[in-house]
Amino acid sequence: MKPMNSPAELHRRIECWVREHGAAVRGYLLGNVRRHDIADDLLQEVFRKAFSAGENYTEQGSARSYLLRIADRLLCDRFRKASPEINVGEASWQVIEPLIEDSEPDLETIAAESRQALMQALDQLSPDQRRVLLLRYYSDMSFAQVAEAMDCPLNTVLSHCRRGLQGLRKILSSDSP
Amino acid sequence: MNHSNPNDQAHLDNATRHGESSDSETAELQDGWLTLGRLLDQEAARGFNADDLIAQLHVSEIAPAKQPLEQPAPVRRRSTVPSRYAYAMVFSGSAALLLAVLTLSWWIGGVQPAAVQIAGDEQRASVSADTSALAWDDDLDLQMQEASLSLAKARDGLAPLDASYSALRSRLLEFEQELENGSL
Repeated sequence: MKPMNSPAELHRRIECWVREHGAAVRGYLLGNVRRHDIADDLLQEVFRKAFSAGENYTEQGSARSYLLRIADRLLCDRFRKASPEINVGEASWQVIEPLIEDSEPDLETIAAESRQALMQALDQLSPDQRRVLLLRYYSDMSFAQVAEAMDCPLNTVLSHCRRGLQGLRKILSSDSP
Repeated sequence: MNHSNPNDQAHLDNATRHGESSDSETAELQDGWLTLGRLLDQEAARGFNADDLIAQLHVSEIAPAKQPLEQPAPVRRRSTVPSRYAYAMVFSGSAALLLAVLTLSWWIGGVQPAAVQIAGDEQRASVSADTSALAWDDDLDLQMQEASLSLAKARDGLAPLDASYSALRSRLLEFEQELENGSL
């Protein structure tokens, strides 16, 4: 439990967190919102909040779990405020999120297939199932900690996990790319 | 299906961890979960640049020390509120336009402004001359005097009638008195 007081130390800590955990937090956000632009906005907000709370931050668990908790709260706030979202098809998705121009055609094809498989898998899951499975994947939180983060009973979390895993087994185990 | 026991939790714990699973059923569940995570990792890694994110965070608020300490130079913008100079210009422009229209109308009507001015002076002179010629109207006095005289004459003509009326009235009063007394 070492409080951070120096602004320079705080800046270094945030930069370190961005490099170490930025991709993981982005993956968690992307799995829940399914759009790169929204995920990037939320990712910035996560680190901004981490910076704002920097002086009050005390190391109780891993930094990644701390960041993922912030991300999860931001997602909850966003889902409360946001209007219903529409799932778009692959063609519309290409318009919204075009592939990197320098990539080769083969890589583009693989990326498109991976993306399609990912979207199918995410479609199989309810929002709560996604939260449980992705919190487990990206952080080292136990089920009890996940339940605390989600503010729901442990049995509910376990139920979400079980059903989510069963849904994924149907989709991904059979035709994974 | 909200039941939970330690074995169930341990089973799910094994199925959602990064490592070898003990049995085939757990491995099957774990495989789907890991595949989802790998796909998500690939998707998240695409377009993610830690340096860009750090730079964006620095620009926004993380690095206030890198912000310039002095006040930034004010940006010059076109004001949407008209200034007093603009109001003066509009007023003088409209006045000039009005004068031009009046002058044109005078020229088109064949009357020059100078002639109008002269005519105005002459008119004022004639009016002042008329006021100096004005005097007391004696005819009205004479008429009033004549009217009063004729009224007096009429009253004089009525005076004998008035006297006879008085005599008649006194007679009637006497007659009435006699009737009351029974002396008639």
